[in-house]
Amino acid sequence: MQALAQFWRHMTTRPVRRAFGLAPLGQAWALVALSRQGADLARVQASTVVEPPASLLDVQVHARVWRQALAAMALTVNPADAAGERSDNLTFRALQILRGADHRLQLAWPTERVVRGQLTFPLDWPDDDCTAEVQLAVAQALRCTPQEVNFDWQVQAGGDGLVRQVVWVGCARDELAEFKRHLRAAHWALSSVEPEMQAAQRAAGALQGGLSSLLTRPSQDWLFRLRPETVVAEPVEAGEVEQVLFSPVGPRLVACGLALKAWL
Amino acid sequence: MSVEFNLLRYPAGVRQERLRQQLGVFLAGLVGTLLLAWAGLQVVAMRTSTLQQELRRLQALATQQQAQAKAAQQRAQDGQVRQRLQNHLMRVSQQQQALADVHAALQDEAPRSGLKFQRLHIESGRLELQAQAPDAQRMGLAGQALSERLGQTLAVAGLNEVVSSGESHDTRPGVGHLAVAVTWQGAWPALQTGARPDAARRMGGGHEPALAP
Repeated sequence: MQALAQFWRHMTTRPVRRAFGLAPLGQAWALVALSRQGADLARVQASTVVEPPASLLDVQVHARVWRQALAAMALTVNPADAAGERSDNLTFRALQILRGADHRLQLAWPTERVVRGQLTFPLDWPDDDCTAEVQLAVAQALRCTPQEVNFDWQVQAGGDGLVRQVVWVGCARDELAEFKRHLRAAHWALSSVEPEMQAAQRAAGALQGGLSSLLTRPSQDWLFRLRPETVVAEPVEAGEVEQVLFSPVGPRLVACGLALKAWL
Repeated sequence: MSVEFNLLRYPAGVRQERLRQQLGVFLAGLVGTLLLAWAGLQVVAMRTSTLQQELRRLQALATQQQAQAKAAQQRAQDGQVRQRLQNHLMRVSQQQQALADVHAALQDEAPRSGLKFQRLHIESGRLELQAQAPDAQRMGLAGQALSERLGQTLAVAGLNEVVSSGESHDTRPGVGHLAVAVTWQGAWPALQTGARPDAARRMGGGHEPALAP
């Protein structure tokens, strides 16, 4: 079964040459495309800011803005084929068509729209029960029904061995669903949605030259290392990352961190 | 970076992942089943082909054996017919031989005893001979001699006294004299196959001059 899953993955994936990250930038969004440079480096290939109308009610305008912005980005990163990256892998291409997406995108959800917390469970609790409890906790935090939330949870390392300490994050499902609809209309699809801080930490850890290079280099010259052993060579303090996150370059760094998820 | 969150994971992501896994397992099972079915069909087709070849071979063998059996039957029938013909020819030969014996005996006896043979009739295994003798004594001697020559006793079936109109050395010309007309009967070897029992050989008056001395 393991070999079969591996074969299926091989058939449905391909070496990623280019990855996209979308991070909140105030009322707008920072869209960044990273491209791979050799075996262990990625650089910023394109960067843009998408400014949808302030009113979330104007669905048609929202959709048009996203379509135009994403089409422009696709054209920028791959002028030869603006409709999307074609692949020789027929299986992958078939899945792309089935998904209705030419590009896949990692998204960071604004911190103010994300709730987080911790829960403790007995060790012998099955995962499904833990999931149900977390769902209830998220719904409670967002003051909505459990069916109206998106969430995730992870077991926190370093427990005492008697109980299971889990960390959870969650957000309202409707806002995210609306966002996914806009992307789908532009033939893009979401691969993952994560908190900004998580993406920022990933980008900061992989940034060549450390966080100081954010101030000395323009964003087009940022380089990221893709090998895990070099990524952990320069540990970054959480406080520093938080400072950068709220700086002007923060959203682009977050977008880069999101895109990096395709390789890290 | 020890914790990696993905807000799409629950509740839809996990469901989709499980669905994908189930779909993968289903497709793998389907492909496996189809492969097995294909392989099974190939095996069945091969066996069927082998059996059909064997069937054709056996049918050809059976046809050949039927032809051989038919030929053997035909040969046996031909042999039987040949045997019957041979038997019949042997009977005919025996009868010819017997007839020749009778003919020789009559030719020998006629001049010696003065018998005038009139009629020889052979029918259904029976021989009937009519003749005229000058007297009863010569008739008796001739009957005895003929019985010895033919190897069987000729029984006298009829005896009459008649006036003979023929010439004789002891009668005057133009005057008839008395003679004995006798009928002898004896057995005759019958033809068992092919010959009709009533297909008797008749030796009428035409024989008389031949038998007469």
